[in-house]
Amino acid sequence: MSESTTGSGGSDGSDPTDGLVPATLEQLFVERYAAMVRLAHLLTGSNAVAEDLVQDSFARVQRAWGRIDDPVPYLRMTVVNATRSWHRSRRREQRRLRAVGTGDVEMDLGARELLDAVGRLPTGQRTALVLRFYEGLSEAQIAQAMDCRPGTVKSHVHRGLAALREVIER
Amino acid sequence: MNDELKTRLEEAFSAQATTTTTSDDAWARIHRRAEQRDHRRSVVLRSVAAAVITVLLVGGGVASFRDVDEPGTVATGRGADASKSAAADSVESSGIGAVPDAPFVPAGNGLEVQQRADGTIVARFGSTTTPPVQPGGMSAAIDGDTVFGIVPGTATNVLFGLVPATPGGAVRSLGLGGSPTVTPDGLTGVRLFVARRGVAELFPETADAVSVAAYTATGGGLGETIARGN
Repeated sequence: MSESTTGSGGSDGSDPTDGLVPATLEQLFVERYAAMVRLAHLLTGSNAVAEDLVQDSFARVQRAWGRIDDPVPYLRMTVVNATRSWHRSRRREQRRLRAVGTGDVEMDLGARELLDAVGRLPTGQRTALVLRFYEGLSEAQIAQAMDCRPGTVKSHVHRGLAALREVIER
Repeated sequence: MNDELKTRLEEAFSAQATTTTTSDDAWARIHRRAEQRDHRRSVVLRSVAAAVITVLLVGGGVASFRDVDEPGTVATGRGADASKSAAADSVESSGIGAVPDAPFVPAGNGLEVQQRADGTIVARFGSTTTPPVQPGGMSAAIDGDTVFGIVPGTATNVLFGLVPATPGGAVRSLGLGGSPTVTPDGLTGVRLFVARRGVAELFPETADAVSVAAYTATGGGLGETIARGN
């Protein structure tokens, strides 16, 4: 582990997919690997798992390279799918990881509680919130990444926020 | 409250994302994973192909056994048998239970071998297909200037002798062509031979039909047949 990355997933509201389409897998890797690991980290709660899933996603993208027009949304969708599969197949491990938490991370108590609460949300709501408030994606972009309708995204975000509000107000 | 919550969420996500690290060898690991995926994929495809061939071959063998032991219980493509029951005839005529022939599989030197659903084995070389091998016998055919044959069983060192297809003809050639080859799959023990010399040169009087015999290395006879061009 050598490169410490900083959050830049489009939380400033800019569209992170703006710009030229990467021409090669190597360019995609240089431009998006760290960002995808951060996204997967937020979706899984584990840095190691995040790297594992993102590397696997890149391997999938490499196989599909000739068939995809814009690799960035495709990669994001692949990563989101990978994290969903991971949650499905490893719920027990996920609970253990959440219980352990991110003990080596310096974070104020409010933020930690909020992230714990996000971690307890259903996968769909958690994914929608991360893509909306970390990646800064539009509903349409989130719908593409999650392979669902924009209305479903709206519902996920609304319900997720409502659940978090209850936690905070408690 | 909503705006405050959203702001807190953004800050919390950013704080956790700040702790994310990536490994130095990520690029190399991605390529290793891609190679592993390709390998797994090819292994799966090979396994599926092998399973399909095995099922077809086993199906052909079972059909052959049933054809002998329980006449008519499985349609084998050998045609109506007098001992078949009327019910079995009905099954066969309806096509139910019919076992398809196994596909031709490469056997080296451009030869391909097929074990048919009725248990017989045939070989082909280019457009020429040998007649089916009879139990204990062999099969051979002429394709242009080449004689090729196939011998079922467990013999491991087969020689072919070529004689004119006339009674009493002397052996003109024995062990022509290179080494026998073995099929790389379930047809273990089937040995093949391709004569490299022209049939017309050996048998100017009857280049379109020669008698082919197969022997073990110690001289034991394995089978004999008349090879004809298609």
